[in-house]
Amino acid sequence: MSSSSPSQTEGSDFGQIADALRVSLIIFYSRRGRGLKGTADASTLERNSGLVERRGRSLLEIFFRRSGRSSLQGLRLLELGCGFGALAVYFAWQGAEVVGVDHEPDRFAVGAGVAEEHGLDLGFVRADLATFDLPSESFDLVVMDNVLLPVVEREQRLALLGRARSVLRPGGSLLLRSPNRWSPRMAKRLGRAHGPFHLGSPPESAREIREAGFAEVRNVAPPSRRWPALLKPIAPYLHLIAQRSA
Amino acid sequence: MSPVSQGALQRDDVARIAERWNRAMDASSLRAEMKRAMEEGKLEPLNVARIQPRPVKLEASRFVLSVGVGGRLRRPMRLVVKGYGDDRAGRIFENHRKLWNAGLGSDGGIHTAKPLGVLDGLGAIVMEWAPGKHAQRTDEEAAARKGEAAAQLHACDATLTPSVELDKVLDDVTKRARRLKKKGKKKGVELGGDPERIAEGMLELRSLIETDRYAPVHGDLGNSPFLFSGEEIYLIDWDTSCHFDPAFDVGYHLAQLHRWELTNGIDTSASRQRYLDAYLAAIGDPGLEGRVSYFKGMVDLGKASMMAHKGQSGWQKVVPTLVRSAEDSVKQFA
Repeated sequence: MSSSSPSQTEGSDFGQIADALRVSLIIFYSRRGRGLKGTADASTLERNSGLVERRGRSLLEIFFRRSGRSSLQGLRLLELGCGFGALAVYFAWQGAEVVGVDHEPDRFAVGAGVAEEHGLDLGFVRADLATFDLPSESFDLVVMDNVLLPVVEREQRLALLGRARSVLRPGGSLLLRSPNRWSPRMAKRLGRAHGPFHLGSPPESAREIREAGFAEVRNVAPPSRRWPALLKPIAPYLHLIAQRSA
Repeated sequence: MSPVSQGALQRDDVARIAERWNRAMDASSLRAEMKRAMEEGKLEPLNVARIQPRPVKLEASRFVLSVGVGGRLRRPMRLVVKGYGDDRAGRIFENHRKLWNAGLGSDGGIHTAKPLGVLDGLGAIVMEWAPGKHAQRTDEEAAARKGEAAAQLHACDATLTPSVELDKVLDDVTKRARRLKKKGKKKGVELGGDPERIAEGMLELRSLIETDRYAPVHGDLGNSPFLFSGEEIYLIDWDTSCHFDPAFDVGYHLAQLHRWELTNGIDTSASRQRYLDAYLAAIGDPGLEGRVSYFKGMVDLGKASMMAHKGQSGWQKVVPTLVRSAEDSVKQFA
């Protein structure tokens, strides 16, 4: 990790970083000999480059609103299931000291390379989410973006949430974004997909987080104006924030 | 490998591809580029009031979009926009246009998609969407039709650019052979022969292979550029087209089918033979068979090097067979 990281306040432009992520992703797919094919791959590319800032900002707005903070400066952030590490790069750009956990180092190398190029503070731990082992009480914020979907067994979800809790410092926050079972659009989209999935409803997901030992669990309205508070139960994604009690 | 060198992957070119891709995927920006090209006479008149770009493929060196537009009489049309990270679009379009004018645009025989123009601002070419499907690699009847189609391409009266010198291709193969040898040594992989020595053997046979019977060459004539639409065959993808020895295209096709066989464990020997027989019968040049073998060996060696360099899955298993095949092909020619 680098010792210093430029933050938004220093006038950097995340657009340049998003461009660098896009180029690295294209190279990643090309070196695998397949390129990016069709609408699904094009969407993956944009989610991990041009749309990262919007995704990251939405999550941070929730955290800032709940914590009363206005920046990530000085915080240690853990992203579980970080994939290409694009979101982790955004959090590092926002000033956090970020560690990403994933089982695929080749994918994370995309984000890590961009972070290094831009002097951002980003580390990586190669581990399975079912077994990762990090020092307890060492992070201020744990982010889980779209990682619970393939965890079908309830006990495994509780175990994963429990491990997330254990690495948080007392008073630290868990920020979780996951597809919503009550969203007709999401149910339709995932209904066509293959593979076993678990789609949690708002109360079920909140209950599981509580059972894992978190307090003050809130299902918050996503910051997007398209989904006002009244409609949050059927928004495509759940946005939950919780705290590890002191 | 192709007679037209693609060059090493440069990050700046990929950045340009990404930027051009973003603009091409944006309907209003693509419409503006197409309107400008029409005003400059670089694109045939099209109704672009309604335009819908859809992603097909994005790679480090090029992108492909399917674009729906309203036709001249508001008839919907499906176009292909292919963009590149460098300035090769103009040359590719010119080659495509020459082939179209030389007979691939007329009824009968083989066809190609109609070339429509160039979008300078996107480094892209525009053409009509070619109909049809790929044939199974084991389909012998289709193999014979592909062989005949390749012969018709090579009989076209079109002088494509660049005109490739054999020495340049041999230089490229020698470099690849050295790289493969180095990789095998580094990884402790038995390569099935000495790639450098095989490349030297090719150089020694240079005077025997040299010919002045150059023709329009596709440069990447594997299975995918052939599209079957009923009785018609369409040939597409002119990115690596050039003026060169037509035996290269035939050897390339045979090498690609053989490599697919090694990777997938499905016998293609019958369709390879049908392809070659049909090609030779149509072209009427029995002396070509030896040169086909020489170029097949060259492509085998080049692809073996590429597979090892990229670390493609199972390369340790496939590469030794390709190297042995390259050696056999050169011996057969000699």
